[in-house]
Amino acid sequence: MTFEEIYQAYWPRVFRICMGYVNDHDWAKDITQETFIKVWQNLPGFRNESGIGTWIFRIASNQCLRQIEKQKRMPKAEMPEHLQEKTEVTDDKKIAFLYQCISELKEMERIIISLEMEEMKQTEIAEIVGISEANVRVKLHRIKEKLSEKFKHYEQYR
Amino acid sequence: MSNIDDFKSLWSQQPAPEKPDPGVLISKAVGLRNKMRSKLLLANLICLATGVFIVYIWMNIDPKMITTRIGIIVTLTGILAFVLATAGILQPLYKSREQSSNADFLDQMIRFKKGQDFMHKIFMNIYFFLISAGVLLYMYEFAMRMTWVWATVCYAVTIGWMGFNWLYLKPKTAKKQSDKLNKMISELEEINQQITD
Repeated sequence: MTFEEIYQAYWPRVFRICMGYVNDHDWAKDITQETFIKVWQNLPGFRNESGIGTWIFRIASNQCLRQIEKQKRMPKAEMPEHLQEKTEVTDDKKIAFLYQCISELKEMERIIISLEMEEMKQTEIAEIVGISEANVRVKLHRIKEKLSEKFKHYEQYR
Repeated sequence: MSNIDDFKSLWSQQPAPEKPDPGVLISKAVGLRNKMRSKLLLANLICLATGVFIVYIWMNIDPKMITTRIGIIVTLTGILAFVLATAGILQPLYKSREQSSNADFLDQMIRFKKGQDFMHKIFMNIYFFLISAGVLLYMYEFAMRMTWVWATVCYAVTIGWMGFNWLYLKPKTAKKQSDKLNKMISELEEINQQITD
């Protein structure tokens, strides 16, 4: 795959992973760009030891983890104002709420669930994070429960 | 709504911003690489200029005592060490681990930050020691030419100023640096803990 092809195919996917991590449009865009700069720099050395997707998501999630060095930019924890209105809930609001919920999880949970959302296999998630597959399964189960709980609460009180 | 497929369908509807042109991205990457290169080049130039300056001083000033020359060299070495260490040319090791797993990457990052904390402390001591020793040696020849009263006053003021640096400024700066790094280290360790939980 050439860089151009990778770029076209993975830009939205990497963006969503970053968005799940920080829930801030501009910040996520910056991390996505940083990720693709790394991909471009390291592509000549890529040896196909793992799938290209696994490799790219590994770089992307490590870029997310590095954001700890940029302490000034804190994730937006508040709900966007329009979400607080108790009107009919459109999909847009649900999308925003989902990303909000994910960004409120613990750092590793954000990465794991985002990879699951991007249809990565559990073996691939295990390879990216560096834990066993069984551990991925356990963590995913816990995270999904947390998310369902939040959504149940949200739908009940909107 | 609690089905994972519902979540996935919502997840994929997140609109992604317009992709920048890949050419723009690549030129940004090249720009970053060039910036790194010019940083290295600048560090080398500073080393070279310091060397030239030392030779120039050696040839052109005519102190009577060797302590004066040693003083100048020691002070300049201290300043040079400071410039090089703050130029950021010491590339973090964990950057080479960007393609490995999150667990591996976090591990490297924690180790690097701990090493950085240690280096800061060592380096600050070396820097302060070199500057202090250099200035005191440099002063010696001129103090010898003064009356003993003036020589004592000069040394007292200089040592007083150095004491203020050692006992007040240095610990304060070191603490600030250390606090920042330690905060980052504990946050990283917290994330690392999430992996093993």
